[in-house]
Amino acid sequence: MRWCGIGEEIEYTETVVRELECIASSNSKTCYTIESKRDSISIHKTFYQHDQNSVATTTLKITITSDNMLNISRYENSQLVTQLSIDINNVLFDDYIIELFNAYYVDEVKIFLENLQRLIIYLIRSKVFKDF
Amino acid sequence: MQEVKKLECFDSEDRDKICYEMKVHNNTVEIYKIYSDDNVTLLLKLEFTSDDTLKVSLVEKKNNKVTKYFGEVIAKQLSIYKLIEELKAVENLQHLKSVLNGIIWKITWHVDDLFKYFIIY
Repeated sequence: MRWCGIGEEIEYTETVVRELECIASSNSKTCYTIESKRDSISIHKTFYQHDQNSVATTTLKITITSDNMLNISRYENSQLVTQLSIDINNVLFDDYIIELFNAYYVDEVKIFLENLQRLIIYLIRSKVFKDF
Repeated sequence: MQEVKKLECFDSEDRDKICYEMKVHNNTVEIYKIYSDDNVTLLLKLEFTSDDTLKVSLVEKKNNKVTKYFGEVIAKQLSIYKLIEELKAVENLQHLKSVLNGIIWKITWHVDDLFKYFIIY
């Protein structure tokens, strides 16, 4: 909900799916998709292994709740495996999430996730356990 | 049943005296850092639930009222039972710092788990 109309030119009111590139090796390929909804943005990774005829999916789902909690869930084949929520009050999170909204290449998603990971660890160390 | 543990007091460079206290409930541990000169207390609250979730929050209190909110983190599927029991058994400040550091590292690894191997080439 929070990122409806984020920036001046983007307005996501419906689900938007954007397929990024696939990375292939001799017997497998990994494809990435970004799915933007009204209240969340998910990055799906699908791994195809040709010789075993198998498919595995991993999803990172990012949500911001109305009380300013950033929620990140990781799903492996649709099963929730790990989840973290952190208060992002006073953080200009739009500056971060806009990078993901605008991403068209896996490299851009990688940079976004690295920055997000750093931000979360910073918040844990410098806010939640500050000076304790 | 609530248990209050007075851990340690010491004089700080810029403030009169700082004391650490802990209150241990069933699933919650409250750690108080009390600045005696101006009656300000920092409260670090760690709540554990049976579904393997840890919630940590930090607030500043003065005269029993919350005067500042620093932040909060909730981690699920954390597998932290051992550290919880160790935290409940803390008897001195050095031990407290060591266990809290363990919890911070555990949450940091949890963040790593969240993102690991997502982008690979």
